[in-house]
Amino acid sequence: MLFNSIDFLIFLPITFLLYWFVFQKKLWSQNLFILLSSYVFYAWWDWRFLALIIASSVVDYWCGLKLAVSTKKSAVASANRLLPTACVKHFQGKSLYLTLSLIFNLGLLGFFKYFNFFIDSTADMLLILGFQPNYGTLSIILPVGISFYTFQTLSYTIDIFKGKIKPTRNILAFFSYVAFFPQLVAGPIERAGSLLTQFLRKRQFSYENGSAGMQLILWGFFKKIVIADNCALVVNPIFENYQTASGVELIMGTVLFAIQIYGDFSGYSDIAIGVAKLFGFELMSNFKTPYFSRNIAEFWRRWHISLSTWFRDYLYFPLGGTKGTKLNAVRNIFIVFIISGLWHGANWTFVIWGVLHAALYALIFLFRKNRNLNKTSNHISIKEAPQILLTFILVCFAWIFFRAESLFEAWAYVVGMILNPFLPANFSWISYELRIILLLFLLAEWVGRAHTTWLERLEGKWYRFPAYFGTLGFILFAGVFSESQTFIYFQF
Amino acid sequence: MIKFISRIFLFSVFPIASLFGVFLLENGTADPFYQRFVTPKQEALILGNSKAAQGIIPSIINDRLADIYPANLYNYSFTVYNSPFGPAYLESIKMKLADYDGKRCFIITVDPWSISSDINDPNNPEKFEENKLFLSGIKNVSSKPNLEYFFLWFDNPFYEIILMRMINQVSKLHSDGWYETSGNMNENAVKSRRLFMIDLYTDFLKKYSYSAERFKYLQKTIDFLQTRGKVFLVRMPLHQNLLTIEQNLDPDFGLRMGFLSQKFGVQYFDFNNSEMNWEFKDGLHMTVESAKNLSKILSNKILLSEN
Repeated sequence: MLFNSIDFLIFLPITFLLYWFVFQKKLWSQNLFILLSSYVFYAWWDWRFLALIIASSVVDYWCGLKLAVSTKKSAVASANRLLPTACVKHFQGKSLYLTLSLIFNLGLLGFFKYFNFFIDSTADMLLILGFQPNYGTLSIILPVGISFYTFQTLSYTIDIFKGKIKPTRNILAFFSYVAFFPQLVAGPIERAGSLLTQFLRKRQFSYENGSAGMQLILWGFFKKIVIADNCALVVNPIFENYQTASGVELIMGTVLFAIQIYGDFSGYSDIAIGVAKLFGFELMSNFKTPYFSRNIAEFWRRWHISLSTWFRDYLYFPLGGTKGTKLNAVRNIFIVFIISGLWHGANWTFVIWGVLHAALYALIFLFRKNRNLNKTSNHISIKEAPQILLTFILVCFAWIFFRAESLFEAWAYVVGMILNPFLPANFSWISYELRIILLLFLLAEWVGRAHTTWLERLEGKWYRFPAYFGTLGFILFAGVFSESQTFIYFQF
Repeated sequence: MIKFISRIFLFSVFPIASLFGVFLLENGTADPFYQRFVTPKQEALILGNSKAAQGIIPSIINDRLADIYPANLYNYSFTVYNSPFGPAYLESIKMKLADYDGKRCFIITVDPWSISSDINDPNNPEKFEENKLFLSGIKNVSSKPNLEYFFLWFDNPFYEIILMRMINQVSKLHSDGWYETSGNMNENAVKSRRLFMIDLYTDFLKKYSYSAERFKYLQKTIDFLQTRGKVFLVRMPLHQNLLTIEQNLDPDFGLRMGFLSQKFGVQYFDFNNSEMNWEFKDGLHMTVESAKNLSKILSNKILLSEN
């Protein structure tokens, strides 16, 4: 079910009312209702793939419990000063369950997302080497949200293995944590330490929480339906006709795609966080005005935060992070970004996108610019505009590879930008109305850069109501509602 | 909780009511198809693609045929992408057609494009392109306002309903289904549009080929309508260069129409055989004046066929 569908507009109030008026009495009934609603939400797309979510939940629930037993035995063995071999045995048992969880989750991901990619790539390689491979691919449907929920469940078992959290015996809470519908299909990717614990205590409705949730939902819909979908109407024809478009039009297409993907994905995240608040849950923030970043490192602290911190904690740090030689650190940066690129899709374009970001990030690291910005400060000043602009240009350049269907297309697009700068550009593609809307959006983002949204800044002021009405008015009258406008990150 | 719900309700009422009001303002200037899904079920239909949508004016024909066919014709033609003959169009026709006890007629316009499909798999109805478009999607073709169309198929922001109502002097979908478009009729502008169409349709020749399956659906459409009234087949006129392209697409098209005419006992009027000097906006779609003339001549032909 898409957030921007009529189905969801009906689904949300019904589940909200049932949750707070019928199933609110006991924790188990709240969780059971969330679980059933989440399965209905997912099954709306394709009920057959519910089996994968359930299987993933079962495996990780079981592995979590087994990991805990092994940890306990290890601890007992250590406490009793048993022979080191006993400890090793228990540690091996621990590793076994972690390995099982990793194999299962990454296996799912590998099969559904990367099987054909690896077959095709191997065949291409063999062709280059002069062989004539005779191969076939499978017609595999990519289950929506698989990259998100597998990463979420993986973090659960890894955290237990590392002793960061304890497993839950509450099966209903765990299954609800895995399938929680607001963030099931496109994140934010939540850690068990944060979200699962919320399923272990009864939720109470608070007006403030509900109101903050509605603000986020409102602003999320604005970003998606008004900003992203209107930009898509310009971006799609430019990328489809990149051979004939002028350099200026290609640049326009790239910049608008940058705005589109931000509006699309951060809009989705805002709606997810807002909906979760309506049900009494707190999800992590996924975006913090990333296009106001002053360098690439800061960009990655503000863009898709739940994924970048996931890779940081479960891949970059285990690889060694910045410890060791600079060469090792640069290697680690490239590994993380390349895998992050592949996470987005089984295509070489995503790999190159990752490589570009890795190269830019590595440069920042080598010149020690990574830590010289106050990480927590959102008080970016206008004096920093040149740095912000440069970062935005670099990010936009990388987006070309992200958006293009193939490496050939991306390359031709870049060449077109450079070689055809003086072909006449058709600026009428961007209507005056869209230009005004984009300017207002930029202003709102700037005003709200130190807050969750600019609407939050108006809290307690009388003019917040006209602001709400204005935003809703823009959504209703300037939004794009046609069915084809799905969320970009659903494909990942 | 009650405070929260009541505030959400109060907050939503005004914007939603305004949106509903704006929907009611759409008068055929903001969208070339919407009004056809607003009008009630119709007793008699004109079918085809954009050539018929712009080239046949039901009100003119209705005035002339009123004595013989009291059921008013309604132009339910769309475009070559949306309404070639196939399952989607036939189902939509069935939904739009009202029951009627009196005498009525149907005009089905035909051309090679409306019975052709993707060259790679022209006879697989599951892969017909219109399956993903609005005629296949809309289940309610007579609802005012039509929320299904607005929320799922209206490609522009809704403010355009007001904006277009104020500024659009170029195109309008009339209440009888006729889509009137005007614009720059300067010789160079017309020529430039015609060359564009020639390029476009030359390109289509590489992508489309005759579809036996679509031809079957044309026959099903005739068969369905013939049990309810008298059917006339019409081929709309077009510029010589575009006619040549159509002949290249399906050299046997004339023979096929002859076959249909004989099989179903329907009259077939090919306006490309007439001596009239038709004028086009782009080689394909007729000017308003030519559309008026064609509608009059077509009425006369239908009247003559009755005698």
